[in-house]
Parts: sequence; structure tokens; C-alpha cells
Amino acid sequence: MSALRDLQIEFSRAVIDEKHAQAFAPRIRRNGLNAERRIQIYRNNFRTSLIETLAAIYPVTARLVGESFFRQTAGSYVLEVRSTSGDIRRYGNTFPEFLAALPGIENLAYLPDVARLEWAYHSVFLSEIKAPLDLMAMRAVAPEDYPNLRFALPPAARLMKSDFPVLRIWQLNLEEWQGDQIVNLYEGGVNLLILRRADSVTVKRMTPGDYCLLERLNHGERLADAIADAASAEPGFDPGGALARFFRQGLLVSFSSEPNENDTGPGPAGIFNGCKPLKM
Amino acid sequence: MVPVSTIQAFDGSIPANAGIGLRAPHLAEFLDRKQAIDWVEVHSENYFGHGIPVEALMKVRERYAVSLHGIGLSIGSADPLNLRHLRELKELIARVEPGFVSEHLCWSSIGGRYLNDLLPLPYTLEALLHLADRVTEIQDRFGRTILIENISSYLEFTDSDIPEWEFVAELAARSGCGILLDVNNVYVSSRNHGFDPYLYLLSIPIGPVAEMHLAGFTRKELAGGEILIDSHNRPVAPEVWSLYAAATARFGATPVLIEWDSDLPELGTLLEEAGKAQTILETRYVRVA
Repeated sequence: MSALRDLQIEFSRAVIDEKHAQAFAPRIRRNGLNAERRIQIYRNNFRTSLIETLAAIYPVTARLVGESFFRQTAGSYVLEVRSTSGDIRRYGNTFPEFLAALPGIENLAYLPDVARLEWAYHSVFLSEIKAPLDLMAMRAVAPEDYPNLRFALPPAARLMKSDFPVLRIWQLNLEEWQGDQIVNLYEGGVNLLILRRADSVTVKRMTPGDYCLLERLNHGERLADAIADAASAEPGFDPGGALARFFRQGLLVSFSSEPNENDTGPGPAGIFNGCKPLKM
Repeated sequence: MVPVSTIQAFDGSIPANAGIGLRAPHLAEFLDRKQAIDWVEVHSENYFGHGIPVEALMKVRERYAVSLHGIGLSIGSADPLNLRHLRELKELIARVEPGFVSEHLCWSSIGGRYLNDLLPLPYTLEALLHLADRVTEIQDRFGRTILIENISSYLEFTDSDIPEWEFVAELAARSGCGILLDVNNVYVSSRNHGFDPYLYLLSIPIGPVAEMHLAGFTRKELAGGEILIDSHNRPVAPEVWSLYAAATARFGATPVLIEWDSDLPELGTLLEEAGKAQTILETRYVRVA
């Protein structure tokens, strides 16, 4: 191993975990200050920058649990989950699952879903806008082939479903919120569409039928199968009306009549899959 | 859309005057109206991809020259270069057409794990050769010269057997890179390690220095002594202004940037700091004919 690699491995160990600091100390030039205190400066920087990244991505989650609990939890996450990119904005995608597994927050059962909404918002904010589907291109498709079409959602769209009123919880806890301050936790769940516009991100509730149709399409289902699922999710569902809305809102960006050859699961928009009827 | 006339009139090169580091909270003020400044610098990674941030930056770019300052490429790591990171940076460069592209003389990852911090290198021949190779490869891939910035550090490795100033000068000589001389970092490290910051400046070759940085530091008292932290959260210290004056005398009129990253003040405060730098740049710089 090169001396450079060896030093970087050993030093990063000492920075990440203080129990390795003493062993590394002899490799630091003696000059007044204690070597372990010097390493500690780097440890603080390392932890603080990742914790602050999480606080910036998850401001409402932080508000719900309070600053000190959030920092403590984020600190444990930083020790457990390594950063793998020099673009720090990518860090923290599994924080909602980390929260869900955390003991002691049973009375905040909605918290992981609020965090999922915040991650979806963050991801969509950083995603590219794609031109909506050109309806002229659809004219080349024979009507009898429509049932076999598969559609793709834009990269800057996410779907999420929650058993809790997470949209209301989230809105109420935004700094700029001006409305009332009360949310009934038992008012029922929501189906959400998180969508980027030119210079903002919108979060909207969707009806069970619209959500199911979009979710199944995002999962790579044939149009006919997706419509059948949506009809069972919402009695009286109008698929023509729903598709017209999707086209108008730019929610479908491409289509094909073949199954996606590298179809390994849902498109980028899928966070929660399945369109079971909501628990009310 | 950038009007065609603007593209022709404005090539985006960084003028030899004072700019500021542009951070997200000040973005709106830059979009609302033209500020009394010609150029800004941003952290490259914050604009990777095709999201809302880079589109806002492109609007800024219509009226200001932009310098891209990377904090995550981990040039000094013994790991292979992160190709995804390089590709994203290259795409950003193609889009922004920045006046400068700079990176830090540091590493921030090893074994694929990122500490997302500017970690110091051992100043050895091995590290120098490694850095020179990496900078050369990056410059080849980008088809342009990059600037390398000296960092603040809080410790020195016993492995080091080359002074930092020689390491920086040698890296520029071997790779052909430019130098982004961070005057505050020179001062902070000089106090932390006990070297003469003026001697550091005298050891840096004049030609490669293309840009300077100024920022505020924090003094921390610890058992066993004090340490200066490169905190970027306050005005430039008087000692650093003095060192900067000496730097302008040596290196001439060079683009200079005020960096402020946390406890961000009103934009006006940053512009005032830039004004101070501008005054020193104009009055202390004595051209020897």
C-alpha cells in the first residue's frame, strides 16, 4: 500500500471515530496543542457539515422533534451511514427509514412520512424538467394498441402515499405558513404528487384513482392494467379525464408499446408503491 | 435566454477586481437587480445536475462573470478520481462557461467514503507526484487550466518533508495549474504551525497566481494553546488585510474574492468587505515599471 493511502485510511479512521485517535497521534507533528485535540477539530467539521446538511434537507422533521433531538439523531445517522459523494446534497436519502427504526418516537408515527416528503421535495428541486409528451406522436399509434402503451413520468416528479395527513403537517410547519395551526392526525391519509415547476416545487393531493393510475404507469404497467387497478381503487373512476389531466400537467413525458427492456422496477417517481385503498 | 449581443460583449473572464462568494440566501438579490460587482464565485457541487439551482445560476451568469470553486473532487485522495463527479463538473463548466475553475489542495474521501471536508495532505514527494498527475489528468479532461487553492490546516503530518509553499509552487510548475492563493488560509496555517506567512508569499511564484481569497477566521482557546479556525463566518481580520496588502504588492492586480459561508450577513456587508479589498488592490499595488 502507498504511504499516502495508508495515511489517509488511518487518518480518516481517527477522524470518524475517536477511539482510533490515540493510535494516530504519533503521526502528527508535536507543536503545542495536543494531537488528539487537533484531530477533534476535523471530527467536529465532519460531523457538523453532515448534520447541517440533514437539517437543511429535513427542516420540518427537525422542527417536529426539536433542534437538540434532531441533532442527536442526525449525529447517530452520520456515524452509521457513510457519505459516498463529494456532492453533499446527495447525503441523507435513507434518513426517513432511519427515523422509522428509531426507538422512542412511537408517538410521532407520522414522522418518517414527513421526512419522506421532505426528501422527495429535495430530490425534485434538484431534478431536471422534461418537455411533456408530444401528443402528435400519439397519433402514430393505432387505437387498438392503446391498451398496451406504457408511459414514463418526468424525472422531477415523485409520488407518495401516507396513512397520515402529512401534507397538512408539513405545510403547518413551514416557516412561511400563515394559516391555522391545528391538524387532526386522524383526518386520514393522503396521496401526494411532488412536482417541479420552472422555479418552484409543488406538492398536491391526488384522488385515489388518479394516484393509482399514475403510480401503476410509473411502475411500468400497461395502460389497460393500470386503468383496471385505478378503477378498483376509486369507484366511478374516469380514466379518460385522468389521462387528459396528466397530459395537461406534463406528467407523462414519453411512451412506448414495448415493456421497458431494463425494467427492474418503478421509475424514478416511485417512493411508495402499490395502490391499496387508503385506510380512513 | 441570454441575448446574443450579451454573449458577444461579455466573454465571462474574471476581471482583476474584488468579487464575492455567492450563496443561496443572496441569490434573489442578484436576480432582482445588478449589484455593484462584476463577478461571483460559487461552490461547483451546489449547481450539479439540471435542477432549480443551476437554472438560477444561469440567470446570474447573464450579468456577472462566474468562477466555479469545487469542494468535493477530492483531488488529493489515493482513490481513483471519481468519474461521475468529474463528468458532472465538466457538464457544469460547459454550461456556465466560468472564468475560473478551482479546486483545493486537499483530499476528502478514501476507500469510497467521503468526509466532505478539506483534509490536509502529507507534503511528500509521493503526494506531489500524485497531485501533479491528477491535476494534469483533470486539465486534459476539461481542456483548460484549473486553479489549486492552499487550505487552512489544524495539524501537520510527521510524514511531511516539503514545506507547503514549496509543494504548492512545485505542483504549479509540474502540472501547469494556476494558484488560487487564499491569504486567510496562509495566515491561519502560519499561526497554527508557526511559520512566517510573509515568507510563504515570497516563496510562491508570481506567474501562476490567478486569484486570491479573503475570509474571516475564528480564534479558539484550547488547553495547550490557541488554534485559528477557517470559519468563514466573520469579517476579514486586520492581520489578514495586512498580509493581503503585501500579497497585492508582490502578485499585482489579481481577482480577489470575499468568502463568507456561515452566519451569513446582509449582502451589503459582503459588498463592503469587497470594497475594502478593492481599495487595497488599487492603492497598495505599486507597479514597478
